[in-house]
Order: sequence, then C-alpha cells, then structure tokens
Amino acid sequence: MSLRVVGPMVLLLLEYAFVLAVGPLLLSLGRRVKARSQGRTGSPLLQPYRDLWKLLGKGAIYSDTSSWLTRWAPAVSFAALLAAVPLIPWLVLPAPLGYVGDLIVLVGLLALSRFIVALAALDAGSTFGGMGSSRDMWMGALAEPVFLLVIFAFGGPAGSTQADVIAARGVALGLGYLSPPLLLAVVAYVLLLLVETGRLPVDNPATHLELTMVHEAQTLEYTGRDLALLEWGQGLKLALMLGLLAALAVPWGLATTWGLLFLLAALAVTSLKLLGGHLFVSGLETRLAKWRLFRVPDLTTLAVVLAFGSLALTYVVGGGA
Amino acid sequence: MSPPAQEGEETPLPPVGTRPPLPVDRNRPDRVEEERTLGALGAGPVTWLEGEGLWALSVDPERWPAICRCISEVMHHPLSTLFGEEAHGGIRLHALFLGHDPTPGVHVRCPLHPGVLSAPSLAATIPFVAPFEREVAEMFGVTFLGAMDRRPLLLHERHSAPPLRKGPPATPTGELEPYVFPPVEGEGVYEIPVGPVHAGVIEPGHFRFQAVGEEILDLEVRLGYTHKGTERLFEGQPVARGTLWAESISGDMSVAGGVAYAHAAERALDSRVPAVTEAARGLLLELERIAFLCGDVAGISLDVGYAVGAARANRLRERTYAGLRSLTGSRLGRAIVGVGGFRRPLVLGDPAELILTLRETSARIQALRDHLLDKSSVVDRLQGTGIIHRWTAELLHFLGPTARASGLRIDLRVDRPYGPYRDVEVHVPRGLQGDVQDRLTVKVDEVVEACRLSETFLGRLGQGIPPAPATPPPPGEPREGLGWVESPRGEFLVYLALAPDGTLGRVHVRDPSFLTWPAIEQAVRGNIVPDFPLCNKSLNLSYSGYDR
Repeated sequence: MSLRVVGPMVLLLLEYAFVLAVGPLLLSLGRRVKARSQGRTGSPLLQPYRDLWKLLGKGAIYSDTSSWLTRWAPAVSFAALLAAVPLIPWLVLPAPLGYVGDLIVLVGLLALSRFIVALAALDAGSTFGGMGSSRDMWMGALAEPVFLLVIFAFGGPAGSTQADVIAARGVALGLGYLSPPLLLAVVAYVLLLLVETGRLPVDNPATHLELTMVHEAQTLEYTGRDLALLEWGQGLKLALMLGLLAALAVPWGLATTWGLLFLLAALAVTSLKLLGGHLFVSGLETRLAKWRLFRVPDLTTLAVVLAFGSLALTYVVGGGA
Repeated sequence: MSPPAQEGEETPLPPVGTRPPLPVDRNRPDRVEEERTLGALGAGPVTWLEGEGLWALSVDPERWPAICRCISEVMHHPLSTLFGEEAHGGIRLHALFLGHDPTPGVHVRCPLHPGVLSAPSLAATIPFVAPFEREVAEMFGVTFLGAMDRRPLLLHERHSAPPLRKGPPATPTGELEPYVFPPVEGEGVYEIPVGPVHAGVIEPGHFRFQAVGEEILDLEVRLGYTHKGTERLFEGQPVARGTLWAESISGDMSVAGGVAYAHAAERALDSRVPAVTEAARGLLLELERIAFLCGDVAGISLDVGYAVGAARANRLRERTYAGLRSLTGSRLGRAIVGVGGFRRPLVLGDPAELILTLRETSARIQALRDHLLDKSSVVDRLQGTGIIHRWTAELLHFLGPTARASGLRIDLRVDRPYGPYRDVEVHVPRGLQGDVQDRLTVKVDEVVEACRLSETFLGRLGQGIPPAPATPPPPGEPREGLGWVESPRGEFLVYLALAPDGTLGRVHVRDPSFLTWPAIEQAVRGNIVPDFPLCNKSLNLSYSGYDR
C-alpha cells in the first residue's frame, strides 16, 4: 500500500488516540479547578483514567425489567460519538476523513447519542431515568436548532458546513479571519457548549441530589463497563465540543503540510487550545450557581439571538460571502 | 416632599432581623385568669408545677377533647406534644400545651378507663395532631375514635405487642398491610417515589411526589426508617446515664438533647445547678447552634450548585466544631453534659482564642451572606422558592428557624427562658415571606446572635468546670420532670418520669423535627421537582429525631 493510503489511516488512528485520551483529562482538569476554588487539593489528574480502568474491569448488572436496549445503549452512544471524531480537524488540514460528512452530520450523531441514552434510561422503568430523559430531550430540543444556526454562522463566510473547509479558510486568512460575526458566533457556541455538555448553570455534574439530575439520572442504572463507556463518552463529548470550537474559532496551528515536526507542533497547539478552553469553562462554572431548570431556555434564546446577529452581519451588512 | 408619618400609622417594616418584638397578645389571659379558666372547665383540681411553670390537671377520656380544645382555642396554647405512658396498671395520655411567658401552659393527663384501649381523637380540633395519635396508637395499641388517619407512623412491620407497653420487648412478626398514599388523579399526573435509599449519603426517608411535568402538586413524606426504640431503651436505666440516649436522638443536636434531658432530670430530682455550670451549658449550646447553622448555610449553597459558598460556610462550621472539641474532647459535644452538671471536666484552654474565632465566624458568615445575595444566579434560586406562609406555620405549629423565617416570633430562649438565658437578652431574627432566602438570612442572623451569646457566656466562666454529678433520688415517691431547650431546629422537649426504684420509668422525647417535618410538604407545593432538594436543605429536618 502506498503512503497515500496508509498515511491518512495512521493519522486517523493518532487522532482517535489523542481524543480518547484527552477526554478524561479534561474532566479531571475541570474537577481540579473546582476543587481549588473551594480550597481543596482535589483528586489526582489521572484519577478518571483509574476510574475507567476499574469500571472496565467490572461486569455489568442489569435490572430484571430492562431489555436489550439497556445493554446496547452505552455502546451505541459511544460509537456515535466516535463516529463524530473524524468530522473535526484535530491536527492536520484537510482532515483525513473530513470529506465523509459535514457538521450537520455531527449534530445528528450527537443527537443519536443523546437519544439512545434517553431511551435506555426509560427502559428500566425507574423514576429518575425517566425524569432525566425528559429533561435531557427537552434541552436537546432547545439546543439542536441553535447548534445548526451556530454552524451556519460559522460556515456562512466560507460557504460550507464542513469543519475543515471553514478552518482552512481561517488558516488561509490569518488574523484577517477575526471579524465581528465570528465573535458573535463564538459566544453563541460557548453558551451552547454549556447546555450540550451539561456544565454548571444548566446541569451540575457533581450533584448527588437525584431530583435535580439531568445526565447523571440517566446513568444511575448502569455499572461496570457500561458506566465506563458512558463516562468516557462524557469526556469524549466534551473533547468534541471543545475541539470543534478550537477548529472553528482559532484554527491557527493546524498542520497544513505533512511532516512529523508539524504534526507534533499541531498536537501541542490543539492540546493547549482544548485545555485552555476547558479552563475557561470550568472557571465560569465556579462563579455560577445552577440555574432553575426553566431558565435554560433563556440561555439558548441568547445563543439564538447571537447566532442570528452573526448571520445578519455576514449576509446583510457584509453583503454575503 | 412626603408628609411625615402620622402617629399610630403603620410604618413600613424594617429589614429582616431588626424588627421589634410583637406586642403581647392582649386577649391572652394572664396567669390568675388562666387558673380560673381551667377551674371553670370542671376538670378537677388544678395544680401548679413550680419547676416547670405549668398548670397540671387530670381529665377522664370523655372530657379530653373538650378540655384540649379549650386550652388550644381559648387559651391559645399550641399543643407541644402528646404521648402515652403505661403506669399504675393502665395507659395514660399526656398532652403538653407549652405557653409562652408570661402565660404558663398546661400539662393535661388523661388516664384511660381500665380495660378500655380507646380515647376520642383530637383531630377535629388540632390540625397537626395526627402524627402524635398515630404514634401512640401503634406504640401503645390505643385506638383513637374519630381519627381520620389511622396508618402506622414509625413502624414498618407488624409487632408481637405494642412496643412501648411494659413487658418483654416486642419483636417483628410480619408485614403490615400496604401503606396507602392518597393518590392525585388527572391527566398527566404521575407519582415520583424517592427513597428511602438516596443517591447521596443522607438519612433514609421516603418521599412520594404527585407531579405534573416538573410541577409538584403534592408531597407526602413517610419516615420511621431510623426508628431505634430509643424511648424504650431509657427505661430501667439509672437517671445519670439518660443523657447519652438523649444526645443520640439527633446527633447534630447532641448538646441540646443532653441539656434538655438534664433539665428534665434535675427538675425531677429537685437538684439545683450552679450559675457557672449553666453558663458553660449555654456556651456549648450556642457553639452547637453556630456549627449547625453554618452547616445549613453550606447546604443551601451546595444545593443551588454554588460549591464555593458551601466551602466557605463549611470551613466556619468545622472551626466551630474544633472549638467544641477542644472544650469537651468531642467534636459534637457528646457525653459531656450530665445530670447536675457535667460528666467530665470542661477544659477551658485559651478563651481569647475562642473569642477571636467567634468574632471571625460572625464577620465571615455575614460577609458570605452578602456575597451569596450579591450573586444573581444564587438569588434567583432562593427568592420565592419553598414559601411557607406565616399562617401555615402558625396553624401547623412549625418550630425554630423555619417558623421564624415565616415571620413567627417563637424562641424558647425568650418565651420560656431557662438556665443561662434568664438574664440575657436574646435577639430573635425573623423573615417576612418564608422562602428559602428568608430561611438563609434568618439562619445567618442566628449565627451572629449565637456568636455574641457565646462570648457573653464565656465571660462568665472561670478556668475549667469540674464535673458535678447529681445525687440519685431516694426511692419512693413518684417524680417527674420536663426539660426544654431551644435547639438549632427549635423547641426540644424531654419528659421523664422516674420509676419507684429511682430508675427511669418513662421518657418521652419530642424533637422539633417531629412538628416541623410537615413543613416540607407545605413548602414544595407549586414548586418544580428539581427545587425540592433546596427546600429540603433549607429546612434541614432530622430523620432520626422524628423516628427516635
């Protein structure tokens, strides 16, 4: 096989390894920031990996009233998230498998992951699962239209909804890429990210109060390797959302030429972007209380307004791409 | 320019915490009239209990509802507790109506007719009497005629005999008939059963919600999962050991439980406690209050998802517990209070250090309150959440900070001053609306007041208080005593009667949570399901205190 075939495959494997590894680290970093803000040391940075290892080594226990759905959902959800990884340029431009789908596919994959988990949470018939599913689907219904709008806001100037095309335009333009519509779209995306990944003003990942849970309530029925997949999935989703933000908002640093040195540099830059982005989100979380459940639409409304503003600036004021 | 306020016109209410005390209700009869009223009931001779400051009378079951109704509705004394006792070969009911200074209150006894295990229910008169009667019914096998709620209260299994009757200990014999929660019907109404095992590490309790979507229509709480039969464990024990069980009623109010029991026992034994011991008890009580209420502030902050505020409040709580530990050797102040004084010497290390801690706590908790109420995302969760109206709190006789946040001015330290509180002025903060924010601010104000009182009591101590056990009573005459303490959750009552041989005969403990638990059912109606934990934490009721 020629390098033209093997090269992208190796690169893709490298990207998968990077994304899978960085997800738990992001979760751990967020917990660290929160612990520090409360005057605690916090758990070691590698703790999530140890937890995953422990959970993966355990068998699974299923409720007698559950069906195949409960058994399959964690794998399907995880697979949907894995399938979304090549859609984002992590290290090089163009992304090795970037042509297989655009960001609308990514929204669909995230929705599939959310949907299957919500369905499985209803399966066992426990109250909390149902409650969590109801809330999660409601938030999903609020967040997905906004997600699409934000994608159009990012993609408008490039005339594409494909992440590596948008990023390539940014890299090509250099600092000229920065514009008021882009800033509006970035703010809208950050608000969306809080909803999509269940961060603090929307959902409290650290809570032990079953009646306030959203995502946690859906995973209450799971143990062992299934729980590991769901938790890893959370880290993966966080990495995806942050990775997309990094690619769309600050695409500089992605390698456009092949070479080990360029690759390593891109790896370092992308890691820094993800960690920096998550430090910002976690810092935001420590300063906010959880909002009352029915205040979530306020957040998505704001995101809609910002995304629309961005689109209007691009097409009406700016006269189009 | 606005015209000056006219004399006698209603001036706007000053902010929470600085309101003047309510004027004494002029319709309330004074002490002499009270005796006349009681005499006119024709219930028999009325005696005055000097130690307790209560009238005592004995009625037969036929007149029991009428007399209790008169005390509750004409004399305006709320029912504080109702319990049973097996003595002199029969069952006797006790009802305690604790009045507020200067009106005393009444202790009504009602011996049931020999061989008849039934009494008329008070349900038609006193809206919150059901839990009391349900408990007496299951613990003594007494049937209350006319009671609307006959479900068991604390027991989850059938027993070989009513557990509080004399005789061999009762053992579980099988299952009870299913416990029925009144259903709510309608389109889209569904039930949410929560507990008794919860996702967090908390005490067990079952909550049955009736909800539409996220809105709570109704909630019923079922407890009893931590019932330990503590009241029976007291029986036959020496008086001096009783403090240990009284402290275990609610572990986070150990000192309050111990002191309430000690007061009851000291009244039964006619034993006097020196002023310095009382001041030391006051210090421990107030330190416990500070730690407890700081914990409440932390809990409220944590339940709105603001962990930074929780960390700051928890630090204050732990510092106070550390102070309590250096004084007593126990973080919770366990096994230090004794009948007649203290069980062990109280170690007063460096009072200056304690004073510094108290002043810092007082300043920091106020700074934390300001910080929390400055954060829009926090205030949005607190305001208008879990409202308990003043008239609800009064009607159902809620106690402690819960009642005060709803605007009631009840505090035993002022209403029936005991021990060290007889010669200090206690400022009682109150809320206006009765929502979670009012409960938060009332609790913070109480911490500030407790810091001030602790410093006052600390000033009255010398260098260490030696233990002073009370003398055991001479066997013979029947003795009884009532003790009350304003615990961090409110009125804590202990009634004890000594057996002829001088050991404990019957001990009844009424934790404030027993009366205040229904507050959660009132608070959450119309709120959304995810706000329930916040309402619950703002009330912070004791499961163990209810179940005993």
